[in-house]
Amino acid sequence: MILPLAHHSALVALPVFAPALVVIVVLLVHRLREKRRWEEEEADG
Amino acid sequence: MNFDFGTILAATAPPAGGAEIAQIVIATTAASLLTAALLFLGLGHRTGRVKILQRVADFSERSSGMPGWLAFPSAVATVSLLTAVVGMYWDIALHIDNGRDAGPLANPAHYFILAGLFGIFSAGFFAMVLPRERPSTVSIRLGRDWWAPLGGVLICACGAFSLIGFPLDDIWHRLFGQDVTLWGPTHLMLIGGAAMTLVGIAVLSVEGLRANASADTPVEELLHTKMLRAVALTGGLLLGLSTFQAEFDFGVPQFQLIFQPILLMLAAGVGLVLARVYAGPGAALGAAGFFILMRGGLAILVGPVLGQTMPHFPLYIAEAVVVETVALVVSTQRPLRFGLAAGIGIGTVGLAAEWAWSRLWMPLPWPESAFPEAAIVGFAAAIAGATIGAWIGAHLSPIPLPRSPQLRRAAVCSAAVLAALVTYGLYTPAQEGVSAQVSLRDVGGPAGREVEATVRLHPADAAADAEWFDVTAWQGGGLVVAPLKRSAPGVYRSTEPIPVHGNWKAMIRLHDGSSLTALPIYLPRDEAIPVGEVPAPSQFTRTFGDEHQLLQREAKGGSPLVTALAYSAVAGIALSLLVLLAWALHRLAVGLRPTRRRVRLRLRALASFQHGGGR
Repeated sequence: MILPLAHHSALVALPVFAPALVVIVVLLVHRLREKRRWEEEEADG
Repeated sequence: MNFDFGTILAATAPPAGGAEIAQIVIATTAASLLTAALLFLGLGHRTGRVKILQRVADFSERSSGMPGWLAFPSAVATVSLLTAVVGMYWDIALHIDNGRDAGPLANPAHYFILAGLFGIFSAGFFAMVLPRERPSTVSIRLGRDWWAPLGGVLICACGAFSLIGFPLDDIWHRLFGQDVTLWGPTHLMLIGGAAMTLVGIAVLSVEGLRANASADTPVEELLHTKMLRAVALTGGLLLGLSTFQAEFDFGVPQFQLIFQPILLMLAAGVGLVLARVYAGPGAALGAAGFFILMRGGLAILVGPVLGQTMPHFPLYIAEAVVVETVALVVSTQRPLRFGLAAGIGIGTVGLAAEWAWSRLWMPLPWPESAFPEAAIVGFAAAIAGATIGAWIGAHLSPIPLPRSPQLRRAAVCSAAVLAALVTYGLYTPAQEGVSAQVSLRDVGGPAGREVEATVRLHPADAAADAEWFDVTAWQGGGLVVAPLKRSAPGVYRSTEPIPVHGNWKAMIRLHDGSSLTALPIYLPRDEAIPVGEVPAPSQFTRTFGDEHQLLQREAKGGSPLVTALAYSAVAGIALSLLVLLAWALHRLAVGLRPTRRRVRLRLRALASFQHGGGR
């Protein structure tokens, strides 16, 4: 079955980058949350 | 998706195009599973609930003697890079020989490329999550008790940079049509990211070496343990830098011949000087040997074993000998002086050796007419490359070298020189007013019509000083690159049968000065573009035109604003990666060197220890 897409389909292209994107977002969110905590801890003492 | 080195050197999508739904399901499922697996392994390791990564890392540590967060990710990255590079050369050869694929996953080489690039990204991720303690003074803090090695962050960034090339490549093709060349901007992202991974692995190795050092075993005593790893690393970098020459290696370059000496000298300068500064005596020769071993294996695999067009390769042996010889006279402890001296040697002796090698084995030998231009630009690229190699090598040195503002300034100037060389090489105004009267004589052929060509040029001396003047036929089931042989003033004959049937695209290519033109002999009808057939009658007269219109029939122009925005976006992303690499190298060098602040802190700590009665 052929989807009516151009040969170079963004629909196929996105999953290729998706794992990297998800992992990077998870790491960034983790760092931002943790950074706030360790900065608060350092400020407290 | 176009992980098309397919677009890279080949023709277009099949008529009407289309991606099979099965391929979309495969890609999406694989991506989901991979994401889940990475997060499960990585975050599970951080929380202590999943032990798999720790066990594998412990095994790697026991086997190699290096920290697990270095040994395991390095092994994954090495295997992944090899997988990707095999896939890349195989894919290029497939597309040169056969043209386009039926779909994004319809070509087995694509799986190798994808697996390789995912592997690289995963290796960086594993390096980031594995350390239980702070791995090095230059590591990046991700949590209260989570420090990621700098090299791991770099490997991850390089892998992500390569992977984002896929969706960007798709957008590019929608805007401008397929750019059937290795040097499409988004294609360069794919291979550039993978090549730069080697710098990340090198940074990770330095961090690991420092972690293994102790008061009883200083870094100096551990250096011999890294020699083999360093040779493979720098040889790998040479391999990575050489991927940019692939169009020349196959004999179908779409850019001026001067780019070959520029790229060759740049790779030799960066790779071999870096090797010698970073890894010590014999490393440049080792890197060249590693390169020949790998590329020789690739050539045999892609050519005789897989039955595709064989990728040729340069040798780098003379350049390596030059670098080792220069190191006997100029100390690598003075990287700028060493880099300049090595660059001069590479740009003269090395260039001459590669010139001779091109005439012995490369598909497009460098002609006399390329002198002196090719020698001048090659020399400049060698000096620039060697300086940059010295700068990187000095920053990667496990034993900190004295800081040198001159070296930094020279490296920046070298980058500017390289940018100027590339700009100069990209200026290719097409020579106008050249035509040819072509007579074709049928010579049969096992699969369809093949011909011999007699070409009468107007003006007669149009190819007298040409860099190349040949018949190129591709994408119909193989590759023919055959020089045209002069038989009388202005008259040339083909030297091999030219296929003019089926999907073959046959043309006469003329590269004279900075002009790149071509004349079609036979081009098939292609409904996907769409374009009609250019037939091959027994007699015809045609005019040479801009060869990109023949080689990249699929490309379509965009508005100047969109074009400027698209190039700026890709250039911005590429520049970001380069800035990240430069920052990381600077952080590595500064972090390994005792700064005034650190010395002050140590003295303060010592004083407090003494006052507290520690003695």
